[in-house]
Amino acid sequence: MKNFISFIVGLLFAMGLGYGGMTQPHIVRAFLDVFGQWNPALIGVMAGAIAVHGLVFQLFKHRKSPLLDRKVSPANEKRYR
Amino acid sequence: MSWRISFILGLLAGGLVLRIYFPHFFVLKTQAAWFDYLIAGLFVGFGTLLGNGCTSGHGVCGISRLSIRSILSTITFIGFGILGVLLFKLFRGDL
Repeated sequence: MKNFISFIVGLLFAMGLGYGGMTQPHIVRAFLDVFGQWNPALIGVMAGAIAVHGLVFQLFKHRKSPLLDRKVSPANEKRYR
Repeated sequence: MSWRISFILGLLAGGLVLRIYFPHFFVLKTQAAWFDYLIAGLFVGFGTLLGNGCTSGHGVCGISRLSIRSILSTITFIGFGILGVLLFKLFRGDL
């Protein structure tokens, strides 16, 4: 199950990055060209990701374990406490 | 440990889906020499290791948790990214 979820996460991540323009260097470069011809498009990518993750984190941080697991893995224990 | 491999396989699968169904996300308007990419990759890898995280780790997960370390990390690497582009424009004409 863990492997399946990890696979889906990777799949979503890659597709999201592609859709957001991260696979095109000229878009990334334009975002960093703050003092020249700035393209703020990538702010949408980060803001969107933070919005989703922030919301989900607040909703789930007091849970005893992840949704699809029985207990929290040691690396994440501090986060769930 | 095997979930890490599954994650990478998922990434590759995502790339494949993009390639087949959305090839316009790979349209390149810039081109750099192969050693530029190599050096850039080495720096990204080393920096991510040193900082215990990257744009996704610190930038997304860290900031969502309101982690001071992550906010500082994000400001640092974005700041240096901006500086990098600035220096490239000054000394190499453009990327």
